[in-house]
Amino acid sequence: MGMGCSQVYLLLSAYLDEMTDPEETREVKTHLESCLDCREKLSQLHRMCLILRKLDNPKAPRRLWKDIKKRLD
Amino acid sequence: MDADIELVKQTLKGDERGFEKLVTKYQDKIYTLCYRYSGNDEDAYDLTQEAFIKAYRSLGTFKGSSRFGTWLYRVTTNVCLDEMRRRKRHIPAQSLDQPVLGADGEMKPIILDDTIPIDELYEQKEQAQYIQSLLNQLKPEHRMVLLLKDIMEFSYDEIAQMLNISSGTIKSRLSRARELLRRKLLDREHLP
Repeated sequence: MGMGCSQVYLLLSAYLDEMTDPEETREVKTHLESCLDCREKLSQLHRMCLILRKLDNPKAPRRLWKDIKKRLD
Repeated sequence: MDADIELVKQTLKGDERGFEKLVTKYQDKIYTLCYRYSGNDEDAYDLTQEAFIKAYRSLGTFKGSSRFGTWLYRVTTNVCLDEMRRRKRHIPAQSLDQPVLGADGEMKPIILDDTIPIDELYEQKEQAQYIQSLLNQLKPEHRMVLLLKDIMEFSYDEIAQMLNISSGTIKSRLSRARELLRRKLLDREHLP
């Protein structure tokens, strides 16, 4: 008997990162072959991670070194 | 020879220009981490300065067993996790329905406008603001792991070195953080 959705849910994040152990990987893959809900959840996690990766992040103010140096001197 | 190691050696010999080059090299990444952790520019700037100053003062303890960048991020994560708790200006884990304590000490409603049409919310700026508000919802320890993995793109091994936690703890915190964001983004139709 393979893993159910509730067990697979807990592993999807690690599975996405290829950090599940061989047994877990096999079980998750098998489950995903027949479970649309879990496949969709995995896809959502993946898309969410892409959104985070593509966030436009602010640069440090250029005065940073001057302010640090004042405190070091 | 690692260029960073040379700059560390230069700094330890008394030449501050070595440290200036290290600051210039890492400032944007360190600031990004501090900004995404604290949720605002003012705290991010303070935390970034504190991280570099702490790194400078403890530079003699850097033995080169890890890469300098990894060591610097370890200093930075400690500063973020320690300093914000000490100042009590951290963004607490809050539900979307609870008012939050602002930096000025006043209670403020969560700024999330449900009346903005969804198509407008797809504008990058609004989405980024909404995502930051969700990051602010996370417990500090969960937030930090998520930031290091999904924004800074470090490996589990690097994160384990920076935070001195096990791979199992990383998996658990990451799973919880990602699940919260996934559900909230899905609720607001931010996951196309």
